[in-house]
Parts: sequence; structure tokens; C-alpha cells
Amino acid sequence: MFFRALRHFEFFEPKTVAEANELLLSYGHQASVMAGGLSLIQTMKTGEKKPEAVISLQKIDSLKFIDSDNDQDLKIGALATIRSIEKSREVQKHWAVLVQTARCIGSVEVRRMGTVVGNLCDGTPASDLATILIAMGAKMRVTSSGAEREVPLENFCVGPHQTVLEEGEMVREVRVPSLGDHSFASYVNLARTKPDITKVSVGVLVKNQNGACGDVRIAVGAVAPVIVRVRKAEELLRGEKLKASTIEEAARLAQEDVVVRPITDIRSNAGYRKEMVRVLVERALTDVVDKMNGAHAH
Amino acid sequence: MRRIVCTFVVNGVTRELLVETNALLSEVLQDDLGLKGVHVGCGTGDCGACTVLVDGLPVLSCSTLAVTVRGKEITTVEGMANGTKLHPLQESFIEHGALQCGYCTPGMLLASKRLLEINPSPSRQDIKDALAGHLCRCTGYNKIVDAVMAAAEGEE
Amino acid sequence: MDDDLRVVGKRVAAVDAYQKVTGTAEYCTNISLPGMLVGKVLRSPHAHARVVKVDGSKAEVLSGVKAIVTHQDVPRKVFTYNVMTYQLPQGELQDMHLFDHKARYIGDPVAAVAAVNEEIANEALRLIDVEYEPLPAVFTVDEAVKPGAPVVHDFAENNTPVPPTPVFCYGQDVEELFKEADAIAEGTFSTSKQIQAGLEPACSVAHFHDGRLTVWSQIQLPHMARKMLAYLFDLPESKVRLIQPFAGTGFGAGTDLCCEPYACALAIKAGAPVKVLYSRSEDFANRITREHICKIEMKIGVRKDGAPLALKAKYTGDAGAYMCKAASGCGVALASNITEYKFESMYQEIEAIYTNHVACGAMRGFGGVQSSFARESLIDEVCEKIGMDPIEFRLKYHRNVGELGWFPTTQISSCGLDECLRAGAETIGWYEKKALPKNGVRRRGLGVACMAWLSGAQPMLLEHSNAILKFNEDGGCSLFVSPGNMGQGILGTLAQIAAEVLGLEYRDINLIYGDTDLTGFDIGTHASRGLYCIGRAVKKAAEDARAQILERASAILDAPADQLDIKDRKVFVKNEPERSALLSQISNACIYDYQKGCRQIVAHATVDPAEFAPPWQAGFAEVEVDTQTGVVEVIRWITVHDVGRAINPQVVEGQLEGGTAQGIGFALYEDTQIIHGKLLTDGFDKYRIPSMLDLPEHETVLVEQGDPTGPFGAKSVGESGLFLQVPAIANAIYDAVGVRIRDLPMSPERILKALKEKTAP
Repeated sequence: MFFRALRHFEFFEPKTVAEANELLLSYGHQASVMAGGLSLIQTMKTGEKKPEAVISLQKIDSLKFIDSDNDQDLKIGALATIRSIEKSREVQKHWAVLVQTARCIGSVEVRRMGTVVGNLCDGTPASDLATILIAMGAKMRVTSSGAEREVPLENFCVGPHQTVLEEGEMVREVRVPSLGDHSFASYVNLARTKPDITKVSVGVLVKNQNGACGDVRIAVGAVAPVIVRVRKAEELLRGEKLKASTIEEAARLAQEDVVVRPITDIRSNAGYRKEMVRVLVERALTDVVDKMNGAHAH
Repeated sequence: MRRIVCTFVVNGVTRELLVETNALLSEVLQDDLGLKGVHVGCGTGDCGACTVLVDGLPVLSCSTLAVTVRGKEITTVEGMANGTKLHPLQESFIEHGALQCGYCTPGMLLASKRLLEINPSPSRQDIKDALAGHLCRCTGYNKIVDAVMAAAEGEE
Repeated sequence: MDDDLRVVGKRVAAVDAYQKVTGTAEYCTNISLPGMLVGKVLRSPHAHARVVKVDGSKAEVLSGVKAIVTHQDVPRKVFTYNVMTYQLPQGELQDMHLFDHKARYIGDPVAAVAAVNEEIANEALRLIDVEYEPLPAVFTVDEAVKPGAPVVHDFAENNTPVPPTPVFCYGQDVEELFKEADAIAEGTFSTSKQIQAGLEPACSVAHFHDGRLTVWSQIQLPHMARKMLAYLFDLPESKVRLIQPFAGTGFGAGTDLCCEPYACALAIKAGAPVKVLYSRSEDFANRITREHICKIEMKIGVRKDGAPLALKAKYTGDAGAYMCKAASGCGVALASNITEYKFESMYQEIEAIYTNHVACGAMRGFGGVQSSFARESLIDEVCEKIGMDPIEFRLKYHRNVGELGWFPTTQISSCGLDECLRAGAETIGWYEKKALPKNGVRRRGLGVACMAWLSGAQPMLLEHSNAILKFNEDGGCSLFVSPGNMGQGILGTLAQIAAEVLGLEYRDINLIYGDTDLTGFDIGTHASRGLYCIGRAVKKAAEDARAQILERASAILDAPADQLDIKDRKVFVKNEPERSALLSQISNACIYDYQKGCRQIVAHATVDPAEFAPPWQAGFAEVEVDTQTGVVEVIRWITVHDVGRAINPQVVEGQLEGGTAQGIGFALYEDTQIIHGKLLTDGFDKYRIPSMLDLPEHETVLVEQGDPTGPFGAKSVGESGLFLQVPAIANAIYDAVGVRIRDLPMSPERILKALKEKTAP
């Protein structure tokens, strides 16, 4: 009654996805979807968002899930918190890199309140989770009244905090392909202090094909308006043995890739970020090689 | 809806309030319930000072809509002691000098309480991981880690 | 030292810790008064603009708005946020007006509103119609002094109220001595403007009632704040009461006013209590930051045996839109160079320049952190040039007892630096680790630095303190003191001093503080003065009370007062301890004397010290530098401090450990970034202070040899904790990878750039 940081808004708590979709359709761009609420509340405090209606998903029990079976995709529902994937034994066992990446978000409270899907929908190019998930080939399941579509995560953002979601649409879940026994992933990042937002990061996924590099995806965060893949480096690696010299060359190609066009901001400068793409790609790939060798040794 | 009649169990006492949907949990606890142990440091979820327990879990009250936790048990630092008997963590914070200005203390205590419930004998690193989202500008953290370690050892 | 002490030297809990762990402690931010209004400040969006018109008529009629104040509502008076102006006979330069006709930085207040709630207050801000005439602005020192640059204040030619002024110089011509030097090191050092960043945002509550103005404030200097507010609103000091509840901030931020004048102006007009609470972003962008010095050019010369010859320095800074302490207070930075080493000669200059940035104030280690960065880095460099171990240099050439202190008339009263250096070198394994080879991607290095600081800024500044002790009939007493209480532990420490003198237990002393109506005058807390200055007042008052007790006891015990002693709440005859009387018995007799002999024991003492008691210290850093990313990790930090005596070792450690975190933050992370006058780093997400995960296990070692002038031999340590992380880490980085970093923060970006420049052909 006295201090209230937020403006008034209509508040809805639909019980089903269909109900949520209906509300989204009727309020159009004046509605904001709230999962964990962290980023929405911040943008409302600053006035970047002034929704007439806030549609909370928190009462939709069907969105609170993590379906994890090593043979199949990992399915993370829109209400699954970052903490919950970190705590999931299945995720720890089969998608350990996600647990490690989640912990790059320093605050346990933020991981407990924030959802994985919310983090991805926020659309920041510095998202740790989005960077590794793009490398892992994750896909967003998008619903709207009466329709559903799938968007590869790497196409989901079109700019900083801008996504392909259209009026009335929301993300129901994100799907992460199984790593199986032959794929290895690694995530490395740099930040000013350990809990700070990432200044540059690299996620890689390599499929081991008889000791050589099969399919490979390298995603780089915080160096462009959206998280990018460095395809020239990927092409170089495909079919090659991951020798130190090959990794070094791939890292160099990654740094030089035209998609890497970082800016200077409060966290770092463009030149440093660009150079760190090379260092981090090299480190991530070296880590993958170590993991492959470790798996082989078992 | 712009206002909802909400029931909260705050520090063990059931409270029924008419809450505007735009009210933050920190605002309701401070303004409507007069709880002085709820401290807001940044309002952006970056300092951890406003942490309270919702059904036993540490949550940032500055970034939570109060209506979304209706029906739940909310514990603030005022609810940690049992009558005049302080919680072992409170005792330990006093004994080890784990506080100076005291502004971050409620959040530190509540997050530590949760930590010791799930991990009764944490390492120093476990404590740092659990409290990484809690900033303190006064102590340099050493004595906070000492206090949580000692409280854990005392409870065993 | 006298070691027959029962309370002093003990690790007792802070007097207010119970309130803090139970959530009952009251801070400005959680004060709630009946009928209280929300106050908000309307700020200039322009870095430099003439305020042509402020029209609050639309806002005024909004339901729920109770007051709008603009320049028309307040007496037009020149003033300053810097209440320390009263510590100098001539005062500091004053250059502010409440709601001036010109806005000089982005955020400069032009009006304020009070309303029944935050929503209405925000709406009222939007409805105030301000007409600005934007003016060209100036944001760098170099631009500000150019001919034709925008004029920030009409009276200050070239935007230079303080042209390069020599201060704290001595000895012969330094240039002549440089000619004799066998080794010279020089460099230009730059720092960021650290933000104090206390966890509690700026907040003040004011209430004007029955002709009296009561202000709840986070200020560290309550009595001088009262004086400034009384002046500003045309009230006698006695009609203004300043209350400092618990403060969740400080570190120098509370040596300047912040939201108090706005809360007062609104409360006077509204006739109701008003709370002005800044958001975090408003706090970072408008609460004045670390002192202005951000560029130091320094040159030192030594003989081949290390003998220090000359030091020459020039300190420059962007003071922002108002001078506050920049005009003369920052001379402390230069004074601090005098104490440490036996330079034959010293020449130093300081200047301050106006720009259209937020003004600079003070932060813990005022000027000394900038000085130690430059000086200790250059010492390391000359040591390398002459092939002398940096610890040996420091052992050999630091000043000692009786020599020149920081202010020309003062002498050093005690010095335990040798012990600090030796203990630290052994703990960190200096000689063994220094000999290890450096190779690989991640390389380790060691660095050392030293510092001598002060226990109060006397005799340069007035450091007047009072303590009052009042005994109750049970032998317990109330101690009335007025430090700025930021949780630093000063209250308990003062109680320990009183209890020790009076033969009481720590908990027998009930502290009354934080209220100018109740306590005697005190300068408050700044310049590490609390323990040394207020502690001396407390000791003196306790000794007076003790004499009164013994005099009374003398009649009861029928023994001369000089034959009596007090211990464990009992007065006894020294050589016949069984002849005794309980303190409660004596106190009771003082109050309930039915023979017309009533005289309650009340003691009062005033001090205004003149001595110079520097705490000495050595800091040791071990770092690991990643040569591919430039990332520095501090592996270990050891601080060894000559504190004279630790009245409460836990409090002393707390001060030094907290300083360490701020020092490592200043060295590696904290970076205030302003573009076109706009603060970009206006939150804890952007301005990163160290978290638990960013600090090494850091250790504190205390050296206690007693100081002849301090209470029980104690020297102050309020600021000491953060002088040496910057130079020691810089020296350790050099040891690890061979680059000298001279700009703060020592970010990975800067280190990598330096590494490249080093290897470039």
C-alpha cells in the first residue's frame, strides 16, 4: 500500500496450457507470460515492460516436468527450474554438462526461482544455458491456441531479448537430444566475478565417430546480438581426428568467423571477446577430447 | 484480478490479507506485516539480502509476487528463534562475529538454515556455493563461513 | 604491556548482534512512522542544463500528493554535502544549492515530492513540468581545462577551483636528488572511482513537528550533519535532532549528506514524516563515490644500496560537479606518503577539476589506497633495478618511532612494521616461493606492499570527542557516545575500555548512542578515528568515574582512595582484599543517601587529540595468472597488522577481512563506468563486488606491541584493511608474468593487452 515498485496489472493463473493460450490471444501484446518471474519482474521494475496482464504459468501442473531417459530426448517443461535440472539424478548422469553450466549462474536462489525455459525465452546472448543447449541441438516446443510448432533453439532468438514468438504463443518445453554413448559436450565461460553474467562463452558438442570427430556443433555466447554457431570451425573438424594442431586451427577459424562480432560494453571489450573465442574453443574442444579419452578408458 | 485475499503462514502464524497482485513479497512483509528483518538491498535479485524461506526454500522476496506464494509457509529471520532461544546459526553468527552492519544477515541466516537441513556437514566450499548469491560488503565472508561451519559441527 | 586485563583483549560479541540476528534491528529503510509519506526526488536527465522553470501545479493537485518542493520552497543558501567542512577552521569550499538553477550532472535534484504512497509519488514526478535549457557538458579533466570548455561553476576559472598546489613537501629540490639516484622508477597510475556499495540503499526519514526537526540518517558524522541541516533550514542546532539507527552502509559514504536535505525539505513543507528511499540504481548514480583522485604521476629515486632519496608526485582528479572533499581534504593522500619511508626529500602536488559527473566524496582508505598503489609499485620496481629483495628494502628504510609523522608537526608514536614483514614473509613462504621457476599457461607470483595510516586526522582536522558515563544504583552504567555506528564493532570496543577501567563486566555497560539529543558532541566516524579518539574519551571518563567511586568507597571502607582498587564489581583495599564493598552498594549509596550526601556518579570527558598513532601493515599476495585469458586468481592473501593492541581481536579481524574483500574488489573487479555523464554500472549486476566465490582464503595476523598514546595501547584499524591488496596484487602479477599493471581494475583485458605489448617485437 505504501511502497509498491510495480504498476498495477491484471493477474491470471490459468490451470491449463489451453487456458493460458486463450488468455494470451485475448490480451495480445499487452500480456506478459510469467514462469519463475525473475526477469519479468525486473523488466517491469525498470519500465521496459508495462503489461496490462500478467499470465502466470505457475498453476499449470502439466508444465512442471523433466522427462529424462538416456535413450530419448531430455524434455524440460516450462516450469522446470534451473535448480531442478541441476538436482535431477538423470540429468546429472546423462547430461552432466547442463548441471555444470547451470552452476555458472552463481546464485542458488536465482537457480531455484528461475526456469530453464524462462532463461531461454529471456533471449540474452549471454545465456549460459542457451549457449550449451544450442550446441546440443535443443528445440523449443511452441504452443498457441490450437497449434503447436517446433523451433530449433539456435533460430529462436532474432536479436537481444527478441524471439520468434508471435502474439499468443508461448513455449511449452525445450527438448535436448540424448548424448548417447558417443557424444561429448563441454561448456566454458569467462565472467568478471564468478556469479557475474558471462562475458564470452563457448559450448561444444562432438560426436565420436571411430576416434574421429563426427557431427560437431560449436556455439559461442555474448559475441553477437544472438548466440552464434561458428560453422567454418565445425566444418574443419568434421571427420578429423582431434589432434592439438587441428583444435588450434579450428579455434583460429572460430575467432575469425564473420558471425563473431562482439561489442564493447561494461563487461568486456570487443577485441578481448574475439580473442577469447579462440582460447575458449580450444579449451572446450580439449576438454571434449579428455572426456572421450576418459570414456574410452572406462 | 487486481486484488486477492491471501492466506500466508508467516513465522507460524496464519495471516489473511487483501493483497494487490502487483505487490512484491518483500513489500507485503515489510509494509503490511511490519517485519523489520526483511531487508531489500538491490531489488534486482543480485544481492540476496531479501531472501526469505517459502515452504522452507530460500526465495528472493524482492522478485516474487506476493500472491504467487499464498497458502504457503513463509519464514523470515524473525521466525528463526524458538521463543527466546536462538537458532544455533543465530548463536553461531553472534559468537563468530559473522555480521557487521547486519543488513545481509537475515538472508545469510535463512539460506544457511536451508543448507544445513539438506547438508548437515558442509565443506567450506559447499557453504560458499550455497551463499554465492548473497553479497556482504562488511565481513569479507571468512567469519560467515566459520559461523556456518561451527553451527553445523555443533548440531552433529 | 600490562597483561592483567580482564575485558580488554577478549573476543566478546558485538553489543547489537542479537538485534541483528533476530531481525529486530531498525534501519532507516525499515522505519515506519504514523502518517509517513513517500518522498521522491526529481532529477535532471541532462548532464548540464539551466533549469529555466519548474512548475509543480499539475502535480500539486493530484490526490495523495502532500508536498512539492522546488528552489522556491527552500532558503537559497550555499552549502555542501560534506559535513566535514566544520573540521577545518577555514572550512571546505562550498558550492551547492538545494535545487539549484542549474543542473550539473545527470541526476542533479531539481524538485522533490511527498505523497501518500510510491505510486502517487512517481505519478507526481511525471507531472512536474521542468523546462531545461541544455548546455554543453564536459566529462574529462583534459577537456575541462581547455580554453572555452563548458563552465560548470561560474566562480571556478578553467573549471579548476584547486590548481596544482604543493602540499606535504619537505627537503631540498627533488630534481637535484634524482640526479644522484642510482635507480629511478616512475609511472602514471589510474584508478576507477570505487563505489562504497553498502547493502542498504540510501535512505532518510525526516519529521518536522512542534518546531523541531528530527532526522533519521545513515550519516557517520551525526553532530556535524545536524549543524549543516540546521543551517540549511534556518533552525538553531538545538531544534534539530539527528538519529542514526542501524546503518547498512558506510565505508565513507556516510561522511557526506545524501537524501537527508530532501527528506527535511519535504517534511517541513508537508508537516508529516517523510521517507526518502533511493533505489539501488539511484543510490549508485547519486550517492557520491570514492574521493576524486584517479590519476597519480609518481617518480621515486634511490641509491644503489636502496637508500630512498626523493619522491615526486602529482595527484589529479575529476571531482565531478561539486567539490565536497576534493578541494583540500584529499591532501591526506599525499600526507600518507610521508610516514612510510625515509625519503630525504618529497615534492607533491594535487589538483581538482570540475566536470559534469556526480561529485566525489570519500571511501575507506581515503586517498591512501591511490598512494599505496603508486608508491608500493614503484618501490618494487626500484628494488628489482638495484637487486634488492623488496622485504629487505622495507625493513631497512621504513620510518620509526619519533620520526616525522604524516603531518609536519607530528611524530610516529609506535611502529611494529618489522614484525609485520617478518611474520608475513614466513607465513606465505616468501623466500622459498620466490625462487620457484615460472612457466606454463598459469603462472604464480608473490607480491608484498606496506603502509602506515592514521588513527584520526588530527592535527589537520578537529577530532573532538566526548564520552559520558552515568552510574545506576546497581553499579551498572550507561555510556553515552556518538560514533557513526555501521556495525564496525566500535560500540562494544568502547564498552570494553570502560568496563576494564571500572572493574565491570562487558555487559554491565549499557550503550546510548546514535542520537544527538542524548549524547555529547562527537565528530563521528571517519579517518579511522573511532577507537583512538572516542576510545581515549571513554577511558578518560571511566577514569574520572573510577576516581569518584573510590572517593565514595574511601569513606565506606575507611581507607584512603589511593589504597583502593576495583575488580569484579567490587572495591577493595589493595593490601587487604577482604576489606571490600560491592560496587552496587557504593552506587546505591550515591543515589539513596538519606544523610544529604546524594551525588550520582556521572563522569564526562572531552578529548581533542593531537598525537599521531599510525597502524602499520604488510600485505602479501600470491596470485595465479592465466597467460591466455589474463584472468588473475588470488590464491592467498595475508595481512599482518601492527594494531598496537586489539581491544577485541574479533572486531579487528572483521575490519581487516572486510577491507580485504573491498581491496581485492578494487584491484580486480570494481569498475565504475560512466559514458556521457550516465553511470552504466548502476546495480550490483553491473558493478560487481566480490562474492564468496571470488575471494581466496585470506588470513589476518595481528602484531600487538602497544602504542603509548592509544587507549590500552590500541591504534585504529577502520580503514586499514584495504590499502595493500592493489599494490601487492600488482607486484605479484609482475612476479608471475612480468607485466606492470598501472590502471585499475587489473582486469583480464588489461593484463592480456600488457602481456601482448611485452612480447611484441
